[in-house]
Amino acid sequence: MSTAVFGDFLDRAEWHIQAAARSLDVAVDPAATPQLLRLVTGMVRHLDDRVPLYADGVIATADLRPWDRAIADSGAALHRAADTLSEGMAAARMTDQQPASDLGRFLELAATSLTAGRDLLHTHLTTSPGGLQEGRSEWAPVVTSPAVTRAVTETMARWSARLAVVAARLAAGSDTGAAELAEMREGLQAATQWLWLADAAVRPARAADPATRDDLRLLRAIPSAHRPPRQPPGLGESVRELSVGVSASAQRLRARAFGAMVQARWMAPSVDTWQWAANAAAVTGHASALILRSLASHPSSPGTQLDSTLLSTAAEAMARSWRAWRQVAAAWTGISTETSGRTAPIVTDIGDLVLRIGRLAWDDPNWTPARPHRAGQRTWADRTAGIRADVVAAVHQASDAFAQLAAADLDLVTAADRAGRLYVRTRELSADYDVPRPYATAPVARTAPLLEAYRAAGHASRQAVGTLAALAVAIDAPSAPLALARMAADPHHSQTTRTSQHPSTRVAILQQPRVPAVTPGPTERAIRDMRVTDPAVLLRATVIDNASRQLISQVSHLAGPRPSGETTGQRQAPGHAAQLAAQDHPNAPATNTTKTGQVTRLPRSATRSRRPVTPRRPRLLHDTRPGNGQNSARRRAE
Amino acid sequence: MDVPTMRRRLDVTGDLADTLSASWDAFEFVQVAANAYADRTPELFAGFLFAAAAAAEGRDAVGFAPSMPADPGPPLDQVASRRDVDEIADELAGLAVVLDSRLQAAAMQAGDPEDRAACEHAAERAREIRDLLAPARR
Repeated sequence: MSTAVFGDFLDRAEWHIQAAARSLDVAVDPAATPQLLRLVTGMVRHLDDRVPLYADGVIATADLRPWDRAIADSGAALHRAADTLSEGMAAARMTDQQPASDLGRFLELAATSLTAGRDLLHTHLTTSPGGLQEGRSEWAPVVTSPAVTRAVTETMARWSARLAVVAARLAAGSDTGAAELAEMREGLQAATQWLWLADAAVRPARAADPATRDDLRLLRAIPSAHRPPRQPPGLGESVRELSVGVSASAQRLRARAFGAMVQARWMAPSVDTWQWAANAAAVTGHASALILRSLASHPSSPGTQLDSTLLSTAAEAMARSWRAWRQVAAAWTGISTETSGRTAPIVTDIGDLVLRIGRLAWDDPNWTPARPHRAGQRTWADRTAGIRADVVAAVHQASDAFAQLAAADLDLVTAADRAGRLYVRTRELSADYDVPRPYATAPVARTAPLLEAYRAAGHASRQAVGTLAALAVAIDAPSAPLALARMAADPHHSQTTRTSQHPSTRVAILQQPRVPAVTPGPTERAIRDMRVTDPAVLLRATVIDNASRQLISQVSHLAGPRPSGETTGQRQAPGHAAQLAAQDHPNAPATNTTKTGQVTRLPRSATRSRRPVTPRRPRLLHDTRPGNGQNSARRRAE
Repeated sequence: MDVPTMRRRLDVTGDLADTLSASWDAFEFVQVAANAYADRTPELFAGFLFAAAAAAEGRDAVGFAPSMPADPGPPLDQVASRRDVDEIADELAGLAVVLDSRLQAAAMQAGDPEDRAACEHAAERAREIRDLLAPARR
């Protein structure tokens, strides 16, 4: 059984959206509007999750990085689309009922898949008691990486364009002359424009830094944070089955290693487990090196040409890795822990992994380390490209898992050493030690080499993984997403959206920008006077006007009552100022872009008062501490 | 130090402390020998390395038993490695059989539960060594 990945839900949502669009050719059912709203709301949540902290509440998005700006602008447009749909439904007294048409059902299923996908992403994150958002899996940095953010935003924008067509057809279908449907039709028409804008808002980012195929592939590959079930090795497994099994064991092992580092330090394994695991890492590395050398000696196969130099380099790196792991095992000699025996759960996963890698290296489908199963080496000549890619993936996955294990074990052993929980027999100490017990805390002279051995093994393992990652990406092996994930999570490879959280870039949120108005505000008017037709620019102008209006409104309330005797000619009352501001700072979507790029005014229905339609979970990129001024300000505003 | 010497030591052990001490030496011998021979034949690398790991675990199990004598055995820095790999594997597997037998007997004699647990733990590792290094059963 394979692990659920985000791509599963993405595919389902995509399929249902396409099906919804196709169903329009058969019948258009305006009663499907609630399902459209649900889907748009799901898309809003995906984008809301990704608004970077430094951009949260920023009024003028021009200074934001392209994708941050795309998230802010596209998200604002989707919020508006959801608002107008919601208002149209309310006016038509349409309730959120079960879909009665194919269109409604497809939209409903797409929304469900999208929500399930978001839930999957959130399995990698948790909020600490202090309100800080923390990763709870090794994939957490990937989920919040710029690469995945690009892919999510690009996908939501693309779907917005498709749903704009759906909304437009629903609006046309509502044109029955019935009075109760008139306002819903207006809502659908407005939503159509906002959905187009949501797509248009991403265009500058697409032009500056397009989402790549690898970004989308990485997004699709994000698995659930839940550990996959164990797949016990069977007899006579095929190369593909062995590779998939190795991947599952590696995933389980990485999850346990991550959990051991961040959650369960007090459950440190015994010396027996640590020493055995080090030997198992050496055995796996030894077999992996043999596999890589075998592949290097037969680089050609039907359909692909492996880079024999890269394979040889990987084999050499792997050899250094397994030798380093042997040093770890040796360094444990004479050191003990409070517990003994191979009781840690990782033993099972490592055992599965060793068996399967061994069965790829040796020409016995039922190979075990025992001497009776001694076999000759497998040869990879004349194997198809797919099989060879599976083999590279298996070696890559196993190596990566042991590299993670090295880091976790170093962490745990260091903690045990600092806590004085590593022991030696007193009689093995020199006469300088006077310990009246059979055991003594291991002196630094004994533990330092052990820790150094772990560091060396970790370094050598990472070197091997780096070479294998390059190989996996080069041949598009099944483990390529793992390589992409490591790159995405590496701050040296990608500039994260968290890096620009300097206070000077923050603008306090005074109010949500989505407040209704009737006429364009001064900023928007000025932009329009310059004959600018870029929808994204106009959208930002609207947001700026909205924020100005809210600022004036708040300040006028804070200013208190007007002094007695002062005439309105001398000083306008705060309430009056707010009214003026409201008149002069519209919030409506003032523009609409036609297919030819012409900017037109949106229907009046789009200017209705906003109400919250998207209760939010903690954002993926946000500091959710209660004292966070920006978020709390936004919550107050909502 | 060689396998026949180790076997003779195990055969003549009397009390629990003797058995623990001889077992410690025997496990240490297996650990050093298995590590030394692991690199000789790639096909048996895994078998020898896991046997070495099991021997280290067995050695530490008896080493931390309460009745283990205070004086450590002689250090075993190296083992003659000029012999045939299969021959040494056979001998180590045979030594493991004797170890298992002696440790199971010691476990039944032990009065201290910790001694008993240590002997049982070490006997289990001896059986693992046997399973890893013994030739195919007929």
